[in-house]
Amino acid sequence: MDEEKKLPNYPSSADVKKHFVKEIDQLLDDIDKIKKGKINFFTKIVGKKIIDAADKEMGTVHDLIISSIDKAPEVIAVVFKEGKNMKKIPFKNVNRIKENIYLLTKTEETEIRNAEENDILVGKSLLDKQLVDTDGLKVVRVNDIAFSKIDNRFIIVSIDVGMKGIFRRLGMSKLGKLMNVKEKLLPWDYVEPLEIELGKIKLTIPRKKLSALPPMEIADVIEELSPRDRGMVFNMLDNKTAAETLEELSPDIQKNIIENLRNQKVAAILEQMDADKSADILNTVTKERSERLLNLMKKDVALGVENLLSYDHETAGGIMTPNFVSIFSNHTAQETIDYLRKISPSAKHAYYLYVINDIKKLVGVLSLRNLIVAPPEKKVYEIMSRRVVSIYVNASKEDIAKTISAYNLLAIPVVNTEGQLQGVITVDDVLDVVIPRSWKRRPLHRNVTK
Amino acid sequence: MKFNWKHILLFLAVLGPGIITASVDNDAGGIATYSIAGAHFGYSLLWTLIPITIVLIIVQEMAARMGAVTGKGLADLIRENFGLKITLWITIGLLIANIATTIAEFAGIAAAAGMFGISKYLIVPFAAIIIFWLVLRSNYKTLEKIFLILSLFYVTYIISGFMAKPDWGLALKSTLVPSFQFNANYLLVFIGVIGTTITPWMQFYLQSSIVEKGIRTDNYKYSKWDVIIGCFITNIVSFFIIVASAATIFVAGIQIVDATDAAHALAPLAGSYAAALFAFGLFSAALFGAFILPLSTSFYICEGFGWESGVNKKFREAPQFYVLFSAIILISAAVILIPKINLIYLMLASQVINGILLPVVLVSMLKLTNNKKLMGEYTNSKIYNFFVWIAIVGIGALSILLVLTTIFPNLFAFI
Repeated sequence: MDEEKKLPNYPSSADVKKHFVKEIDQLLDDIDKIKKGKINFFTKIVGKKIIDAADKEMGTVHDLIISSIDKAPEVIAVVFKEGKNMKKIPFKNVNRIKENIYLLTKTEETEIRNAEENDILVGKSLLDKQLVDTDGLKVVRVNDIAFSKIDNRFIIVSIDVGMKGIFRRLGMSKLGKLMNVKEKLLPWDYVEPLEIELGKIKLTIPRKKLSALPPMEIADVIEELSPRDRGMVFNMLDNKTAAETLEELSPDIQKNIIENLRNQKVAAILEQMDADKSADILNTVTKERSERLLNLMKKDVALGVENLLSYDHETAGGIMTPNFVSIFSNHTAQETIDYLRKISPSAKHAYYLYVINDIKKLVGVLSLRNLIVAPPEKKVYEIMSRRVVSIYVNASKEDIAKTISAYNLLAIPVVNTEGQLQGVITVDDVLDVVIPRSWKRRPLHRNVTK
Repeated sequence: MKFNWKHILLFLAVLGPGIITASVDNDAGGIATYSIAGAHFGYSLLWTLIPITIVLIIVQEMAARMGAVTGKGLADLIRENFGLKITLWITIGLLIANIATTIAEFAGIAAAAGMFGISKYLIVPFAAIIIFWLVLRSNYKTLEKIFLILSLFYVTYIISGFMAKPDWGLALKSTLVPSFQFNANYLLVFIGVIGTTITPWMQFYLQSSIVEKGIRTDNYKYSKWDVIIGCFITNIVSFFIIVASAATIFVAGIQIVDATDAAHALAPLAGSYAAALFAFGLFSAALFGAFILPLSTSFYICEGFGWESGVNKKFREAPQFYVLFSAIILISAAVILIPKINLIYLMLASQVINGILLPVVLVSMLKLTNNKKLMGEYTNSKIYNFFVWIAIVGIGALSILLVLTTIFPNLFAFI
């Protein structure tokens, strides 16, 4: 990867990105597959004539039977009505699905049987049902079901939850086109049926699939939900995912979610976040709740956050993270490397190694590269660069952004009036505060259009 | 059920949907119909209130039970079990009928305020804004409290009933002993009274609010009392409206065509306080209706099409819901603001649509409540079904009559 070569100092950041990209690609791939493969909509198949090999009409399609409703449900039989009885024809007898359904066999060679109680009928058990979350949150309704021929099997690939499906079913596709309604297809992979009791199937966008989404996608889902439902979704995410998701949400939704969660859960989520981010969130709750939350958090984490809370959150003091890596000017290169190995800082906190003296004053900066190539017995102050750009804790976010961009930095140290190192602001922290939120958002359901 | 404090508390916790739905039944149109019934036929239609109460309880109980057992609204269930097309036609029908009814509510607001000398150009926009503001700014709990308070205002009719100094002995006898007159006007009012008391939209509203309130099978037995008490209250109020106009306007032999006529006619006969109370009752009833109808309409349309709905949601979370709600209020209020508007054809159209829809909705409800997969052990009993069928056939026949007489006004002239 080009990116990795250019920025050898923090490969793990690129790894994370790669991971997200992979997930998103996977989703886009799924959608692509649906787009490319010719889609047959269930409601278009119903009502087609069934014509046997001798060109004799046997009836019209009433419903389809699928093998199961697990991953990739396959059509195993076509159902037609004979008087009051429902008859099924094995799908392997089907030759082609065009204007009519043509069979490979003549009527008398076809194995026609009565549909049974435990056959899973698509129209009866899936169509018009609601797609809900496991906790019964209302999301969307199944307006249609899309099938595709994959490896010679006829499989449910997605469900139609959009207006276009409604218009299609009402036979008013032209009107829909006129009104420019969008197609909304949800890949079947994102659907998990529950409660397969006799004919009663509840669909769900399951938790584990939700958790598997990148936090940004989860954030999109969350924004669609009602306040009460948001709390429920958050409760089912693991703390780390919850923390990452929370960071993606707008401040008012963050606030709303925090209001709907119990203190223990909030504290656990806050522990997973960077101190600056948790400080931001604590700033939105009442003083009393903030204290109680801090009390529930691990002592060392809470201390860092409390320190940040004393700063105005619009300034460098409020934005910075106290979880930075500082090294000592009078240590040797070897001692420093050992020290770094011991604390094993995360990638984004090791863009630069800030050097402090014995009274915590910021005296220089050292790159990982220079540290590694230096002779082991050299003291840090001998190899560091003394020209270090820093800003004061009360600097405004515009000042920070300007400074970072002027010096092309990935991070900038924050010092108090005594020149003591207080924290570090990374470039993504600044981006978060200066970029309009709308830039970061993408729609959850990609619209599949031709 | 043994009564102790725990039961009463549990009852209070689920109280709301049944009483509110039944109360709003006596909306502007309802009050007009009952006033006319009393003014033109004296006490003689009072007996209908007993069968109406029974039928109302039976029907509303089914809706409430479905809501509690399935956790889904009626439109949800119709969509899932009868498909998109039926859902679409029912919702279109209800949308039109309910817009017409909402217009009637705003007309009621305008007329009642007019009696106190307030211009409709002032009160209608004001009422619309209040409704908007309350729905956009509050959640279901607050709204329900407001609705329950509005339900209390119906007591004004009970007071004006007493102030009219009716012949209680005759009123009681007419209530308990059925009588019937074979003439066109009597039949029309008779059908009107039933048509205004049992409406399609109520079933949708009741079931949705049961669901939104989170009532499930374990506390349903308390909710059932909410429904039953609501039905009794609404018909007691109807009783007093009929009595008030029977004791005064009927005795004086004055002809009226709407509720404001009734209020005006009451003034010289029962005193200006009685008239003012009557008008005030009309105002709060119409305001109540103007709240609930747009709300319930938006509820079930969203349910049917799988859009997020509910007053607890923000605009961004449930855009279709709020757009529908706003559109219905805006259209209705705007129509009333047209100078010299004649609403008679609109009202007739809504009567026809409701008359056609009601049997369809009732049969759907009957089919759904008998669906074992849906209702489990809570399906209707055989005896219950028997009564529901009688009710449906009765209401169905009357609805068809209502539709026919609306389209052919001279139908009964031959009797």
